Amino acid sequence: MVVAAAGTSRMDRDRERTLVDRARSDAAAFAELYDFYLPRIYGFVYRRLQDRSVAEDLTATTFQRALESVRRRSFRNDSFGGWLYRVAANAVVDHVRKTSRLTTLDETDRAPGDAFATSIEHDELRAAMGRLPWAHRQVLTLRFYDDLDADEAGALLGCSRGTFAVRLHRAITALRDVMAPEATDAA
Amino acid sequence: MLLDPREHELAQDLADAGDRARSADPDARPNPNFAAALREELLASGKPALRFGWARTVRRLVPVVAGLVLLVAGIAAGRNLYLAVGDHATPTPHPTATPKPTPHPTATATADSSASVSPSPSPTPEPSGDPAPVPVPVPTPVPTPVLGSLSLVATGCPGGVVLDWSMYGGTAAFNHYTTLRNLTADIPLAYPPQGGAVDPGGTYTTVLAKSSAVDIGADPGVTSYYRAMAFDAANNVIAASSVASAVAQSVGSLGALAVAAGDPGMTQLTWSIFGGPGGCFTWYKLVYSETNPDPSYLGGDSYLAAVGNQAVGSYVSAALVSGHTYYLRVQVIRATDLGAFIVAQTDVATYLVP
Repeated sequence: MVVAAAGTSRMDRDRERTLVDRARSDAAAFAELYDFYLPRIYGFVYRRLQDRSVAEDLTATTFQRALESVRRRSFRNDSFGGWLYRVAANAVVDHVRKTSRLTTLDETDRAPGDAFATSIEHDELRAAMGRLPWAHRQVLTLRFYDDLDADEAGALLGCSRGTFAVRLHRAITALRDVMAPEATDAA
Repeated sequence: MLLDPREHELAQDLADAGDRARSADPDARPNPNFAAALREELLASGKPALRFGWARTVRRLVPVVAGLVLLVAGIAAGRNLYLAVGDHATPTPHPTATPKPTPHPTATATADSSASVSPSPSPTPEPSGDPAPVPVPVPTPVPTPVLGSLSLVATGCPGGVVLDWSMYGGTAAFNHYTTLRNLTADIPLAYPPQGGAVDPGGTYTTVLAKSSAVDIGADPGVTSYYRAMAFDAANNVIAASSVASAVAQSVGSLGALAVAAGDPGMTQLTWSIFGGPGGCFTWYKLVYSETNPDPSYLGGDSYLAAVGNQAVGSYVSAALVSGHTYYLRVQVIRATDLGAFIVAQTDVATYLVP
C-alpha cells in the first residue's frame, strides 16, 4: 500500500505530498492516504478516549474534514499526517469538553501518558517516567507510544519539526538524569 | 537528534515499550468493517452517511418513526395494527425476499498456455447429479463475463523489474490486481498460480488506479516472464495482460561519494550520475545517519534531499552539524505505485563536519 521505505512504517514525504496533490481530484490517491493513516488516527483517538464507538465517530469526522480540506485546496501541503493528528486531537478535546472540565490537549493526553508509563516493563524506566514533568512525558508519549514522527508531533503541538526534536532530546536527557541516581544507588 | 549511548538505549527501550503496548491492545485497531464502510462512503460521496456521529441517532429513530407510521396507517384502516408493532415498538425486520443470484461463472477455468489472452472463457459446466429436491427461486440471468484485457510493460532494471500495467476499465466487479512471474512464458489465467508461475509479492492491490509495482525477487541476469491480472472478489480473473518479459540486473554501483566542506556551514556531496535508463530512475536519495554505518532509504534512514534530475551529480547541504560525524550515501531509487527499490548506490562516506 505504501510507497515508503520497506521496513519502515513511515510514508515517504514526497509520496505523501504527491498523493495530497492528486487527492484533490483523484479518489484513489485519497484512498491511499486513508488506508495508511486510518489505523494511526483511530488508535490515537482510541488511546485517549478508550471508547470504540466514539473513536469511530471522531475518526470519521477527522477524515471527512481531511477530504473536504484537500478538495477545497485549503490544506497547506507540508505534513498531511501532522495535520490529521491535529484535527483528531482537536476532535478529542471537543468531545471531552462536552463531558468534563478537561479542555486542552495537554489534559486529554494525560490518560495515554499514564497508560504508556504503566505499560513499560522495565521497573526503573517506568518509575522514572512517572517522575518526569508532564511536558516531557507528553513528548515521549507522542513519539514512542503514539509513534508520531517529528513532523507529525510538531504539527500536533504547533511547533516546528526542529523544536519538537529539541523537546524530545530534552525529555530523554531528563529521563536519563532521573534514572542516574537510581543506577548509582544500585551500584 | 543527538543522543549519547545511554540516552539512545533509553529511547530504544521506550520505542520497544510503545510497540508492545500498541500491539497488545486490539481495541486500538479499527474494526475492519468500520474501516471499509467509512472508506467506501468517503470515496463515494465525500460525506459519511447514516453510520457515524449524529447521523447514528437519526438512524436509531427511523424504526420508531416507521412504527408510528404503521400505527397511524393501521388505525386509519380500522385495524389494530399497534398489536403487530409489538409492546416495545420493536421494528419489524426488513424482509429479505429477494433471492440471491447464483455466483457468476468463473473465468479461471480456461488455462491459457500461450502468451495471448483468451477473450471468451467458457463458464464452469453445471455439475451433474440428482436435481435439487427443493425448488430454487429463479435468479436474474447473469451475463457471461467477458475477459478484459490489460497492457503490461516489464522493465528490467538494476535491482529489480518495474511492472506497469493499464488500469482495468471493464464492467465486472473489480476487486484487486496481482501480477504473476514464471521462468517460461506459460502463465495460466488462474490464482493460486499454476504451471510453475509464482506470485512475486508486492503487486497485489485493491486500488483500481494503482497500476505499477516492482519485483525485486527476480534473479539477476535471468529472463523472467510476467502476466498482470485483475480479479473479482472470488478470485476469478476478469482481465489479463499478455505475457511480458524482462531481465533484472544486480544493484548498480555509483562508486565513491565525495564529501567536502563548502561555504561556512555547508557541506558539498558529489557523486557519479546514474547512467542507466530513465525508466529505472525516480530520485537520488541522499541518505545519512549518525548511528547507522550502512544508511539506506529503504531502511528508514533520513535523507538530506531527494534529487529528481538524473543528470545532477552534486548537492550542497546546510543540514549537517559541525563537530558531528555522519555516514552518508547516495541511492538511486525507482518508485512505483506499490513499492520502491534501490537501483544503484554509492559507497558509504564517513564525514566529520569541520
